[in-house]
Amino acid sequence: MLVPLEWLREYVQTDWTEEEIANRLTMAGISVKNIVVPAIKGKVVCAIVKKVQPHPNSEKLHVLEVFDGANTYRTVTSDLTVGENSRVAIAMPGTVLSNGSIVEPASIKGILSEVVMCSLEELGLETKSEYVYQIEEEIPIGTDLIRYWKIDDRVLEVEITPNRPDCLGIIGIARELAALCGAPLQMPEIDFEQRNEDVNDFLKVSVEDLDGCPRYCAGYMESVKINHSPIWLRRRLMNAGIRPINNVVDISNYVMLETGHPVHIFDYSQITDGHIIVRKAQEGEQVTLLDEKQYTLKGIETLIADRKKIIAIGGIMGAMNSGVTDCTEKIALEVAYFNPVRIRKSSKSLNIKSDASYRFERGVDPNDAIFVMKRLMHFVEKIAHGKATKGFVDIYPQRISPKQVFLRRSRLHAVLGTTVQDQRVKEILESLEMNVHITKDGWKTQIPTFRNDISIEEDIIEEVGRIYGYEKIDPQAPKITASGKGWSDLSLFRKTIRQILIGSGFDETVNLSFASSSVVKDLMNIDSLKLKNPMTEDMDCLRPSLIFGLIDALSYNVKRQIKDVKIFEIAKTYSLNNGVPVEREKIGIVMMGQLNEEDYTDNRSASLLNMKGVLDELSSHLSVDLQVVPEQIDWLTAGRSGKILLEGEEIGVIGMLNSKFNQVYDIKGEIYYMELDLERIFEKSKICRQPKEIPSFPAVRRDISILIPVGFASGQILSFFARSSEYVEKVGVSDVYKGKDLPEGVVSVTFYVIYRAFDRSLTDEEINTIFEKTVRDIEDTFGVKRRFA
Amino acid sequence: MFEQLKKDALQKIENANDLEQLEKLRVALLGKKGTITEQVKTIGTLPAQERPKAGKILNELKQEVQRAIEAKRESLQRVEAEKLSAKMWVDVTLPGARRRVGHRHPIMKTLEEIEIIFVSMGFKVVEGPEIEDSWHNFDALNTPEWHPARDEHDSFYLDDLLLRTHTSPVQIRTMLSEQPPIAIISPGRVYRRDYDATHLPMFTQVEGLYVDENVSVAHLKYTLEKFAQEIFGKQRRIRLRPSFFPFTEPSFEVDVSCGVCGGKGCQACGYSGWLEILGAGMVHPNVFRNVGYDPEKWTGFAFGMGVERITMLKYNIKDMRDFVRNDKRFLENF
Repeated sequence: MLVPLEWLREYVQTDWTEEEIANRLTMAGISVKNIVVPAIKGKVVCAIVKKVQPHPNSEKLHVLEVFDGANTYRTVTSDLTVGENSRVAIAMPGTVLSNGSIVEPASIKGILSEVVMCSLEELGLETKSEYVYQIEEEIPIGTDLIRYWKIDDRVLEVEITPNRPDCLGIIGIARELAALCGAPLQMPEIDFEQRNEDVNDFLKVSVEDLDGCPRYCAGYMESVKINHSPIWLRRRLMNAGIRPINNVVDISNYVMLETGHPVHIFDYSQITDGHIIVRKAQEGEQVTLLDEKQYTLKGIETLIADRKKIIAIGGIMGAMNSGVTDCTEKIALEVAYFNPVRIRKSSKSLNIKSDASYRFERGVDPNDAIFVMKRLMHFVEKIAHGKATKGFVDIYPQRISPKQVFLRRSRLHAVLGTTVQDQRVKEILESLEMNVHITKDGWKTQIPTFRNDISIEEDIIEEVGRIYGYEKIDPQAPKITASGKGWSDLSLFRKTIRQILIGSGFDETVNLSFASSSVVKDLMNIDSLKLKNPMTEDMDCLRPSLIFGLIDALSYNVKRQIKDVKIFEIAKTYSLNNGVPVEREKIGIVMMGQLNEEDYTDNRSASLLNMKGVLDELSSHLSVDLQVVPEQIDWLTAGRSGKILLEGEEIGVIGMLNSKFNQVYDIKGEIYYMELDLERIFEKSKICRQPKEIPSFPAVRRDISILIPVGFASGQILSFFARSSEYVEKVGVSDVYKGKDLPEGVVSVTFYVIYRAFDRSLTDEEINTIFEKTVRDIEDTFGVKRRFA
Repeated sequence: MFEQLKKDALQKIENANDLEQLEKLRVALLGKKGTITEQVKTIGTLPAQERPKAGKILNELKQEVQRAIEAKRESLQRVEAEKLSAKMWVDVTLPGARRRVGHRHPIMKTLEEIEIIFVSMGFKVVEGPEIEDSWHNFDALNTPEWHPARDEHDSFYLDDLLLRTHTSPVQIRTMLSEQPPIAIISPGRVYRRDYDATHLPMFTQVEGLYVDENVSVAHLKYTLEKFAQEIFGKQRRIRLRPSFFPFTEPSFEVDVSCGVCGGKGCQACGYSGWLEILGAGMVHPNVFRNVGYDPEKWTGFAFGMGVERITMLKYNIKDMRDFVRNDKRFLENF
């Protein structure tokens, strides 16, 4: 909200500077984000036009002589309506105008124009104007207009939290300021005449929707003259961010800004029989509002209507058919209190956010209606020459009473952690217009109805705290006795995995959890968990695999000539299981380009076996047996993919992404990917295993090269060796050889087996026998041959 | 008399190519049967008056040859050493053949730091689901459906469920399953419909909750000031600025003094001297009622912060989107 300082100071006398006001309000919870300084700067004075002559070189221009009480200046204008004796605002050379332009003497078609006659736009009093402003007020020639009209007044840009609708009016903020600086709040004057005719002779109000509109107050005025508003009113509206329209509309906006209570003014002649009916909308009813758009109603709105038509959606916006126009003479004034929840529902469903709905949905004061009505009439009389009738129509069958809340002294001091003097507490609460009565145990308070945010003891504690000042509370160390270790086992497990992967050269990434459902469908042929209200189409679902996200990071780097990428992410993936959304934490690892880019002695590229090396390292560190079984997976490359098993259960995949990924993400090169279910591995992991005894007898090692055809899973041979004898300690591969001396489609794999007994030294002879038998069994079982027979 | 012998000997020493040759030469000259040794033996055969002179000359000759051999040996040893070193030479000014170690993501790095700070104060790290129901995300936290505060939590919906907009539901879940005293922090991913240089639709939050008897604003102030000093530096101060959250009363925005100007006001802090780092407050009695705690017996404070924001302030990062771009050159800084 924008709060013109000069306007604010009308209600509170304080010698605090703007900065101090801003700071103190901020520290009391009325957050001032900025102090806006208008652009206008320099000298603008009231001058009178002495002479008007045609421009010798243009029919579209006039040359004028203007007199400011001391000097006469020449000026050239295209506004031919400015005549002799018109009074104008002239800006002297060097002046910066509201639109940022700087006044300089300039030759216009051969005639030197020394000063500028300002338009309202240039004075910051209108958003767009093409004519020179001709002053209507009686202002002495030579008056400094920037100061006279206070158009360089600064404005506080304030952020009001949703619990403080009372501060959506300048008086509300003034009340806060008054409480802070100890000055009284000066309420504005009300002064207007009521004629003898009774309002009831002109207006009738029936409220059928009391739930939506607990109070409806209406007034009637006639002889209204629609015109534009005086300068002071324009300036205050403009500085508060509202464009002036005409005097009556401006007054309604002004009173809303002042009191925080939105009001509405109807053209009385458009209300059939002068009878206002407040009723609930019926589904499907249509109405065109002042924004010139047509709306179809949902049936939850509170309508202001007459016998024939809808004239406003209560608390949201008036209808086109009954707004004030230039010809309006008689007006009906509305000050109502609408149900906040109903307003919010209606505003959401119609997708209309107005200054009125914003305030009503937060809750205005139901009990200031008469004051607001009088303030309206005061201005309509003073500015638009309106004449009021006697009294108001006021439908308010169930009065909303002020709440009573008791604040215990013990509770106040316990919650704040400090002691505030009894008298100070009373002062603070009274400065906020609460009715306070000190008792033995605390304070009996009556809460004014404009403070709908206060209903319990804690709310009052906050009031005391924020005005007293939290900076006065000394910090105090809590004695935290809650038990339990800092991190869960799962969280420590995750940390271990991150350390292993980072140590293995992978960069940790964080990616958005979203993906495009059509891309997911295209690449993996699965249906993903869709969002009901995505931000964009390419983020319309939750990713079923971490590859969506990781591959975006990969592609971002590749497009910037970064081609060696080893990254991982640990995060949730999402799917639907029997219609129920399920989230599971996974580890996703991507590898592409050089395996060890910083090691120029190693020019190997990422490969499937290197990725499997990462898996084996995890198996070893985490004490789980992660096995890979060849498996054709749609979205991975044929021949280079497998599923990862843990105790027979599938817990992940490994492989090279298929070329469709390369196409969709525009990446050239082999991309290796592995995904593991973190939670399943955690459940099976035995990080806390007991260390094996260090053997004291020597080991015996045997190697054998076996010719392996394409498509044969060597893992079978490894397991065969592993099971072949009680003495086998370890089996492994020491070399994979592909040479021209081998037949096409065959590689030579050198296996090694380490034998050891715990209680004696094994002899070469017994191991030779065991090993030779095993190799022969392998040849027989799998139909493979040793390389060197 | 022995001039020729001396000349030959010195010449041969000079011409020796390696230590082995030199040693052979030494034996040939000075060994038991060496030329010079043999000459020394002949002194006895000389006339008596010549013996002292010849003895002296020969002795000098012997010493000179010995010196020459020593000198030559040293020189040959140097050469040998150089040869050996050439064979072993590695240019240590070449870059190391590095095995690159990966990098922690800045968000995770900051998060770890935050966790360590609170854990050492006695808090426990608790996690919870990202897909939540609106009771845990809003209603239990005293934010009924039509509360305007929901405007600041523009949520993503999945039929009946939603993506949590903060990690506060974890506090609710913890309070429902445990009895006070409770001191927890809950880190995790949260989701709001917002995407620009200072907002991500998914970001990381850490929320904290401390419930016990007689917990006060003074305790909150101590805990959060300690946190701010640990994460940003000992000189930093905090201030509590009254604010509003439906689940706390009183509520605060917590600002930390600007690290650039020390609170005097500069461009970095928008000339206010303070930077907003987190939201906090005393747990609203309705929240306690919703989880079955007696608000008369228990009080508590809660706080919540965006890890991205803390990281941006700590490392002077301007664009929040950098965190999810994962540019390798960006990640390598952490």
